[in-house]
Amino acid sequence: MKRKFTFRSYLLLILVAWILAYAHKAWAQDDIPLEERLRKNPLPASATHLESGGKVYRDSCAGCHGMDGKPKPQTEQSTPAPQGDLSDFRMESIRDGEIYWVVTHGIENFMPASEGKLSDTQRWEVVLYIRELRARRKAIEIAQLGPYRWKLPVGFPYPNVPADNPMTPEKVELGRYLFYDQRLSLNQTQSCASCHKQKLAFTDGRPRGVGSTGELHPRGAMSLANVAYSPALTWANPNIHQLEQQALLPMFGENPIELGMSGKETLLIERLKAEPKYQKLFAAAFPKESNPFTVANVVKAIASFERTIISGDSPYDRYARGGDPNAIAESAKRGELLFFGEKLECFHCHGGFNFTGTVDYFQKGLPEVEFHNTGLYNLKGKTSYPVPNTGIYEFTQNLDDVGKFKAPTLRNVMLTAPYMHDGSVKTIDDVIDHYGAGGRTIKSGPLAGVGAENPNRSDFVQGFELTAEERKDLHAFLESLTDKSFLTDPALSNPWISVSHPSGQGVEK
Amino acid sequence: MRARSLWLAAAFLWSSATWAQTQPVRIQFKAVLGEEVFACGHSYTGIGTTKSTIEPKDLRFYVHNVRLLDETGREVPVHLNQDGKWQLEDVVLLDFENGTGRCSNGNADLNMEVSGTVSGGHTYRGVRFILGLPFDKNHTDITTMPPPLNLTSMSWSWNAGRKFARIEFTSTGLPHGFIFHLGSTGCVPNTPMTAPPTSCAQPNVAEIFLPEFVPGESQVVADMAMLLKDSNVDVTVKEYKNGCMSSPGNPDCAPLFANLGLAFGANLARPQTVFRVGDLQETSKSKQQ
Repeated sequence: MKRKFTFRSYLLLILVAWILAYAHKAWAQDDIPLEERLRKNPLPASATHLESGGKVYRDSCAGCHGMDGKPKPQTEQSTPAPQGDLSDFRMESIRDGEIYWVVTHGIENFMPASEGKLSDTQRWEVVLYIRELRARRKAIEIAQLGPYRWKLPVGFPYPNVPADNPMTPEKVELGRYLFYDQRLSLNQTQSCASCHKQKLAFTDGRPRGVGSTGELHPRGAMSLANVAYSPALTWANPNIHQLEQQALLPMFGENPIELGMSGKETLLIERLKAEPKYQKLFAAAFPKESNPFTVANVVKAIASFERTIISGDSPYDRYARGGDPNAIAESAKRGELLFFGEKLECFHCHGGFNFTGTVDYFQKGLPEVEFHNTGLYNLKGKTSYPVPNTGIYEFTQNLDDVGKFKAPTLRNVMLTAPYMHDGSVKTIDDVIDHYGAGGRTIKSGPLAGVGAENPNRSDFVQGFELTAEERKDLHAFLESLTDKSFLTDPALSNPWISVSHPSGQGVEK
Repeated sequence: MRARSLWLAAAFLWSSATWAQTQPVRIQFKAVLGEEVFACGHSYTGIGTTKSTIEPKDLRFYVHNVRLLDETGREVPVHLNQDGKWQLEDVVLLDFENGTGRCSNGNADLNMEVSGTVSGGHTYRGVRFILGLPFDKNHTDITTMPPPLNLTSMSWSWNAGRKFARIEFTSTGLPHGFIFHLGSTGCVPNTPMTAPPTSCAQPNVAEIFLPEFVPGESQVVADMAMLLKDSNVDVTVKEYKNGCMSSPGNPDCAPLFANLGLAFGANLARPQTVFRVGDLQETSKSKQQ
């Protein structure tokens, strides 16, 4: 009983701290009744109400939360709770009714209730004022970000953009054409989209990529969903941080050959110049440059387009952050609890708004880059993972890093099979089995070994048992991360298809 | 009349003084396989431990920090002509492939010399240079750096750097080719892992010292047969695919690194055997004729 109580307090604490804002907001599982959550603020956002809310906030809330919503430094007197930043993007995910509830009832042991101290109107005024804190901060962020207008799902932070490649709609448009253009491969058979197909959440359905010359890539194509938020790109390379830098890999890399353009930059530029459409697109994207046809601009445009590949409109998003408590089935809601629970531990590496621990965004402060060993292999010999896929060990040369790879986003995970860096796990059920066993055991052959005994295996991969019902629930939850509008968003689709292109050459079909 | 003589004398002295300050220097490079000059489109026999027949696909490498030794043995830096193409600051790209034959991934341009100026008034004997790129230039952006650091063929994006040397050929046993790409490995950023590399565990840059080199009389000979002398170029280790991309665990790299005077794994560096001094007038049996 005690344990349950503590857990509930923890849930509510989190709700306020927003640290795992996505993690513990199951509609039916903590103390806020559904109808309370869905309540809308009855007051209009008038100057009078805002002013009044500001005064109440100053007197009752600012002591801990700070006048601008940013938590005050902890002192001995202050509560042990980490106050969340009431002005940051996570606030967009919290409903009026939820804020009102917390203001009214407080949080056991951490935050006093205001019921009886503040009138109902005053509490709703505080809710208004808290909304205003986020609105003010957002206005500042927009001013700092420049004129580009992001179209982001509710509760998504602004992505970081390199200072030397600010976003513009024209660059995004050019990048979209380039992304789908087979002229980017030497033999004109592949474009970026060949391995990053929109209908498969920008993966290719293969265990491992296949380049334009037929060479097999050691690893699989990663989903590009929300790639703008990833401060580390590819499966396990601590040196690739920016999409501009990453785009050079498939274009010019030789081990393996992907698009096969190494040494052919002059040819590439000639091809692009010969396309009448590009004359306009490059000039519009780089208006200050007399010769905008450069490799630097090609990768800048592609990176700009990639930053718009954003997925945040899944049924789960509508359920967790939108106004639709029935957007996902009851089974998925139970699966959510399993996913975010301590039995399965999934969320430790697949948490946050993008379901991955490797994340960065505008003004985050500290980018997070994580690589984990999930016990997929345990070979005898020097490295426990088969060469060349030894994880970040390839770079750090520290044996403790063998087998450490980036946890990919789980958004649209049902469409991104087969799984793991080398596509060696075929189905989502096999993935669940793998984690259930705390690692994969391969009985014979050159890859034989007990993955669960890999010395580098993550502490969060401990194994678990699921009933058939629980497995169904987990499935349903993972399915609720499929964002159908993302898969068919015309803004992310092949632009050449609508362009008349009689020869059909050089176009991704 | 007298004034004019004085003026001439002054001019002569001034120009001598200038001459004494710096003098032009050219250090020519020649790529060979044993006694034969390297050329795309030709084949070379008796290469490596299996006496294989090979055909070049590529041969390019960067050198930097070129120095001559004066009569006291002091190292005097060669200030490179900034030609906007092959030489940038203290870096030179040497390019021996002309895009013909199997070198079709290359280009027509060739560069087989280092040109610059060196402090005048000395008699130089001996040359030193470093095969590879300095750390601060290796990890720069290929899309924004001037030539010769802007070549995609020398880029090595996976390691956030460049290939120092690109040496490729087909052999009797490997008709698709054996690849040797020399570059820094074990490159990592500081924590958090969001910065460019701050160090490389294996820089893999080789200091080359040729004490017998005399400017104007000698040239630097890079002998690919010597590089491959201890390799079996007819097979490669399967898991590392087609040759040596400088991966620290790849056994195909060991003899190549040894001959370049580079440490590899547990092998300590020993004197390099690939570069030697040749007579500038030396007539090699050239297959180009």
